[in-house]
Amino acid sequence: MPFPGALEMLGHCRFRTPVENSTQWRAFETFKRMASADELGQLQHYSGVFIKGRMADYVVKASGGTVVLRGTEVIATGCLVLTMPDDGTYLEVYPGLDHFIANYLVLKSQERYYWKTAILSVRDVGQGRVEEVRRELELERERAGSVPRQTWAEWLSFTLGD
Amino acid sequence: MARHFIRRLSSEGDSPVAEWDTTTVTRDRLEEIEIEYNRLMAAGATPADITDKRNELKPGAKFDPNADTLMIPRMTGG
Repeated sequence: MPFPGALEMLGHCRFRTPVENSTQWRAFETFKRMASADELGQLQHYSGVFIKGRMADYVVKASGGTVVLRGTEVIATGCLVLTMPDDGTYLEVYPGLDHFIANYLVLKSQERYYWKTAILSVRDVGQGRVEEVRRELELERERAGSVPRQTWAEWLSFTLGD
Repeated sequence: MARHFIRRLSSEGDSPVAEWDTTTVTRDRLEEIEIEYNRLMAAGATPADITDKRNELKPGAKFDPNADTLMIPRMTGG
């Protein structure tokens, strides 16, 4: 099973199969219906799944966070969470694997929505690289074309602290 | 036999909403399921078609009795 280099680069983090009938286990069973054998293997070996996108590549972690990659370089970390359950309770009540599934589905089929909605942080970029990453992201915005300019501008402003 | 389901991500973990067999389900039962589907949509959920690993979010899609659907609650940057 050929794992992408990005997962090797991010290191091993052993996935613990959830206890049967726990909240995490139910989400894991659902993901097993959705995932390819390769993706399931990635989750179990690396606690994350690699997704090749149009605007960037991603590793969605079992904890629910996402690493955004350009080639082998981490350009940002992203966070998109479930909220507003209908019982009125808030964020933390969802099991981590539920966040993982939501991020996985968004990046698989609604990548632009992810870029418009997730909080993206460039804190993992090395010192002195912020300006360079800013230029790369502006270029990406132009390539994306159909992404509303204002949304990208807002995102860049928020992320890079203009 | 063609079994399909609706599940949702919830604070109790992934939970079943409904399951049916398209060859035997009654019209009344399908209407009940559609009402529940619409209730979840009204609460801000987004349906994802996960039939045969399609794994496609379908914002605003109507209830499809021939699909396996996972309802994703409202999402926000965190």
